[in-house]
Amino acid sequence: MNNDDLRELLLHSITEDVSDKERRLIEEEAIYDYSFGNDFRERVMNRLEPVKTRLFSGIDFLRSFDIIFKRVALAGFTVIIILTISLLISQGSLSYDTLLGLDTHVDEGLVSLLIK
Amino acid sequence: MHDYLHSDDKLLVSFTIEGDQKAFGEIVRRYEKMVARTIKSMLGDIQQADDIGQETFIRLYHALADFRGDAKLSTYLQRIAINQSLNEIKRKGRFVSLFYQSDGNKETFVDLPDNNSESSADMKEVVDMAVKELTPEYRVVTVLRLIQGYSTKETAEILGLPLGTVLSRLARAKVRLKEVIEKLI
Repeated sequence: MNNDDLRELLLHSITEDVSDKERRLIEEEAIYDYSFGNDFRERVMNRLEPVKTRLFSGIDFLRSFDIIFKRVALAGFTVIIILTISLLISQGSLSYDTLLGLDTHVDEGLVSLLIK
Repeated sequence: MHDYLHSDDKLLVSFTIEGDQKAFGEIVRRYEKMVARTIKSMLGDIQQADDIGQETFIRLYHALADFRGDAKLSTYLQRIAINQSLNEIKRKGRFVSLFYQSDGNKETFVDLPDNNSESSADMKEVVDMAVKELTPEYRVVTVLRLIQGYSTKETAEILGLPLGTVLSRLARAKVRLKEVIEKLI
């Protein structure tokens, strides 16, 4: 294709649709095949590392907080259950006084007198 | 281990959001050429073009968490590349082309080669020079339509402009390009 025909095709393609074959011709004959440097991808990925740290640090914090909260809550709940069971075994009941540690006081004891 | 090469864009995006950097590396590999063509067609083959290309992908990376997949990833990326290029043009306050000088709205040609010069045979160079001679608003639509081969509808979508505006800009750009190309060939 000579330059005049190519020029007409080029200008035509700006406002009108062209076939795939014509499009390929334009790309091969009239458009620069630009590209970035050889190590472009590596440079992007290198710049990404600090960005990644910033981007995901917030998400990581929330995830860590969620995990820690669950672990602490589970441990606390387990301790409460164990203490309740041990209290039940040692005192034989789970009354209000037992939970407060007042069920075994002796009326003549110093603490009992102070309570009164 | 994911098969990045055969993963579609949406999958690569979701892998990236989960923190998989290799998935983003595949996105860069897939669209590097497209972004280079857009940015260098807008600005010229200059040193800053590589930096702006990198910035385009970094911005995409930042924006991926908000990417809902309504538009194609390539459309999204083109929009970022175009915006970055326009920002660069605005920042410098001048067009990068070697033969063109801008004085506000006044356009002045600088030393366009005459007919029958040796360089006139190189159509790629002529088209490249002619595109860069356009003002940014016309250059943008021409790059997307002529250089990237998008339809007018896709061009309007990328730029967020009404279809009528794109069509009228393309028509004006065509007239201007015709003038410049005829002068160069």
